Amino acid sequence: MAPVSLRGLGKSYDGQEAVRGIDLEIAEHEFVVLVGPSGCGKSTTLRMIAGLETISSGELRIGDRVVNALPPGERDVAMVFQNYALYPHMTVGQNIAFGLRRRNLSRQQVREAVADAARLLEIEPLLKRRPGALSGGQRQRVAMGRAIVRRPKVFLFDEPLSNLDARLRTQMRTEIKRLHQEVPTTTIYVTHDQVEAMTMADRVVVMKDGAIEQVGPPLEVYRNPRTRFVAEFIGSPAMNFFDGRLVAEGDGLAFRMDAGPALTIPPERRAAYGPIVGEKLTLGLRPEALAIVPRGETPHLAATTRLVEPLGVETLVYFDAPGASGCARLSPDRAPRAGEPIALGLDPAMMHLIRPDTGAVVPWN
Amino acid sequence: MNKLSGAALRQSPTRRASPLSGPLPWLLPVLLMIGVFYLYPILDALRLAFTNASLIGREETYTTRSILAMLANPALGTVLRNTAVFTGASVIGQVLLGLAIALLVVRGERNRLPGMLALRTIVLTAWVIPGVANGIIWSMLFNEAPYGAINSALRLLDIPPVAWLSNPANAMISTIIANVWQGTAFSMIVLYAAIKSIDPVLYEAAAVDGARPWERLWFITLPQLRAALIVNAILVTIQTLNTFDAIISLTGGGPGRATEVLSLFTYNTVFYSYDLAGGSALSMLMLLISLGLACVYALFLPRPEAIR
Amino acid sequence: MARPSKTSLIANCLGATALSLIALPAFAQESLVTRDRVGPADAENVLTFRLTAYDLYSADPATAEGFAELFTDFIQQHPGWRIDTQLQTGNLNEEQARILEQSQAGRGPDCAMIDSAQLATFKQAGVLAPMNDFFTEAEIADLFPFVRDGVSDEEGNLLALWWFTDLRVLYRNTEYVPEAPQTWEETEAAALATVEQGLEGILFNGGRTEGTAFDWMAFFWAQGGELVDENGRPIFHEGENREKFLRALEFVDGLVESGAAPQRVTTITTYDDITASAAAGTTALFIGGNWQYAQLQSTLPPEEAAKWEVSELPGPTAEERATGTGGWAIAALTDDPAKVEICAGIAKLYAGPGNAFQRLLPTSAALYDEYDEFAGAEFGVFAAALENGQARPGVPFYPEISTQIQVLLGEVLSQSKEPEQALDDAAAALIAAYDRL
Repeated sequence: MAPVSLRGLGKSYDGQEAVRGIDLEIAEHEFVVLVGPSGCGKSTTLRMIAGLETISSGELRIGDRVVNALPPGERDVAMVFQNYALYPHMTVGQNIAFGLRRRNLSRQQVREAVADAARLLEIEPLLKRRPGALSGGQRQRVAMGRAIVRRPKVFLFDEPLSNLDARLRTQMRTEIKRLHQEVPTTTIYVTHDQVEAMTMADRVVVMKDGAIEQVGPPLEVYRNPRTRFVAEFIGSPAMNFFDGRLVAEGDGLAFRMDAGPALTIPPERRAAYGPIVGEKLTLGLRPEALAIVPRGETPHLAATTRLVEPLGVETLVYFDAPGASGCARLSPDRAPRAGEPIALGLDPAMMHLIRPDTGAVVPWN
Repeated sequence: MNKLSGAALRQSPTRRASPLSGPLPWLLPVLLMIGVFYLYPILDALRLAFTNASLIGREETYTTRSILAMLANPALGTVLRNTAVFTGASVIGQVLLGLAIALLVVRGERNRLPGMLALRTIVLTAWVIPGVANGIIWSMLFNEAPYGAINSALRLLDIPPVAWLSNPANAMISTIIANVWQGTAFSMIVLYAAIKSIDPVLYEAAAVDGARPWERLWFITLPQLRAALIVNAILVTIQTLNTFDAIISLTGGGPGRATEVLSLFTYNTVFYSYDLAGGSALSMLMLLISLGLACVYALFLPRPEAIR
Repeated sequence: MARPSKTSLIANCLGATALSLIALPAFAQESLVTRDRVGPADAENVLTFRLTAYDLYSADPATAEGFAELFTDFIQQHPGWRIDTQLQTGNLNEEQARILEQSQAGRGPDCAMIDSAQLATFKQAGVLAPMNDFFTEAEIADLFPFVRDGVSDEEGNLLALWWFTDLRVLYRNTEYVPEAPQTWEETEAAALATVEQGLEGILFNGGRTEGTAFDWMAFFWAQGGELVDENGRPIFHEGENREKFLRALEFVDGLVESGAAPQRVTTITTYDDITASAAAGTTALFIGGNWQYAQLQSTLPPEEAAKWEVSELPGPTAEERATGTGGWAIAALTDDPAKVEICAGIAKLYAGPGNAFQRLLPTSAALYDEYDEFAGAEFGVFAAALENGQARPGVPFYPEISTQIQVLLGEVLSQSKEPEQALDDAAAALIAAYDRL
């Protein structure tokens, strides 16, 4: 168990930079999730930490040691691979015990360690079987058992759940979380699924094009995305965007949508937004910031319901509005029918203003 | 159960209606080919073994004397011992050397070393050389005349010349070297393909698990190659048991009978001594040995679930 | 058995391939001689002739052309006839066995070239047609004794024409060995002397090849030894023959043990190996076939070639001599007298002008005088030595005897068995095989 520190970590293949300038301090026992679309460099970063890719630039520390040049086996990390990478010719027990070879343990100690790991993962009855005879979920558990048994300083997970069906995925998600609580270990987890990132992480690291876009606790990132990319990537359904312009309105400020109503800026943001009055901006509103209002109430966005997805506790309403389309998260008893015209009220307290040229969210607090 | 058989019964009249249904017509061409080109010659050789047939063509009568005489032939013991040594050493040598070169090539390709394709091609050229030519090449190299290739080189290094072929024990080793040299390419290609098909993630997992390079070879590569190694060993064994062209042109089986193996002995019996019945008996013996060895190997084939 | 250019299997294959490339254009304008026939395509009478890839179809264009001329003359003297030629492959043993098998089944050629070593087998199989009508008494009487025995049956019928022979002689480089050794003792001493001068000593076939057994048999025969009795049963291991056999064995064994011959003789399986050593100048003494004389003459520069001379193989004493003789015969395998006549004509063509053209050794003394080509001194030595010629025993069992002798020589020369032990083992195996016949 050790902190992990990435300083200016970079990787290039044949002059092509795949990952650049990754700075990240991961605390002891912390569960960090690297998330981003495919090709964003998250797996490469993980593999550099594991030692499976050489590090082109920067420094990597695990605990207080610089491990840049150490082979994987000497970094004291354990990794769970996307397709499990179980040794097909070994039994489950041998698979789990394999990583203990270098520990100089007695046969009895190995047996106990394997039994402990198996108990923790509830795979004791499988120990004598071979991976070929296991289901996907069972293989996943064995792969984790193989990692846990070594009590490594750092756990690395490379998209471990992507080969499982939805139900199993949810189940394993909580399983991994539970394990992390029972065996607190520094964990770095890579996924492209923002739900996994949100539900599992102590801190989320959103990556894009080989660089970190934003780091923070899931809710912090959700509430205060720093870029349009993060705002769009984190959260499901995605954030809605409306183009418009920030204008002065009386002694206050308002965002005037190109095709829609003007939205009064809350007073606590006026100071922050003052310098950008008059600029063209994009308004970002999460689906829960939209609500159906009586038609007479102003200001509202007039839209047409395209699709209604009742999810039980809430209902998602996809709509078309002039110049934009989006999604609103509504309570089921107020949901319209498809094709019905609706009036949507917008909650200015939850608004984000984004510069269209840089994609940066204008900070206000 | 009842329902099922009822359904089958109802279906059967329509199935019977066409004589071309069922698997037999589809298998027939293959069965014919195997029957005509493989089974018939084997059965005929079996029949001939129980005759007194000779290439000189006297009247054929059925007898077990040919078989008994062959089994009682005092040379057979020597020949079988030679065959065992030659085959055993060739198989071990070819498989190990083929594995080593295959690992080297794969390693080289992974590290993007130039010339790996050329290396593979060069190794393969040995394989496409006909056995007789292989024997001639090596007889030039092993030639013990003052101008023999290897001995000349040794003399330059002030090493005394070696009796490569005239010493009976050395002759066997030299023959094995020549055969391994030629056969290694086959093992290399088979094992190269097998190594390439091992999931590279297994090596990554092993690396993270702290396995040293030799441990990766021992615990990952070799178990993953098990099926390929065994199939390769079967093929190489049968191939080596049947090898006589390289020996005939390298030593002719000599000195004495020092390098006379079963296949060469069989060839000599038929085409030199004209003893067709005796030769057939010997080829039956060869068939039995090949089958027996193949069965032994097959016992070590991994079960299907372990291959996955 | 041995042909002018005794070559290995592969060389024959290559030769045959080269032959087809060379021969095709050469014969293109010769309408009467083609790849598969001699004579007009529309001739009413056809004789099938199975021949080897030498002579008419030699890889040497001059030889092929010379024979084409001979054949053209011959066919013009026999109007209405066409000879369909069928080429034997280089795999000699298989080819001979095939001819025999086909003849017995009535599918054989009308006329065929037969290895003199196989004559006994063919005679015993009863497939050869007598040719007496086409030869004069004098012609038959003039054949060398071993030849006449080889081609005649018990009634005195001439069953084939042994058209050329060969023999084994002792070669020496007169620069190192000025005087021809006459006895075994002199031979060993002369060989040791060449070893002291940095050469390899005496070379001879000692590997697993027919030549090994056959070359050596001369030493057994020189003492009057007999391999088989009149029934073809091996008797070389019994009584006086045993003594003679062991003495001959100890002679060659002694050569290797004393260093007069290198141990590598057990690896020599072709006469070409020996020619190569002679050409490279690493040996000054070897036992070889008469055809190697021409090879040395054409390989070496004239002044080197002139140093090489031949002499009769040494014997235990200067008076006891023998040499193994081989060669090829032509025989008729048909009952049709007209075809037998053509076949006999072809045989005479080969035996006379054909031999003169190629300088192969004729089988009757008169022919040496008839042609100027045999004027060289070496032919005097050959013709004299042929008086002591010994053909292979005329028994179908011969190949087995040869195999056992090759094996026992290899075992003795490589010092892996004592001569007596090797002889007993070989004899036991041979008797067992003989009893099964």
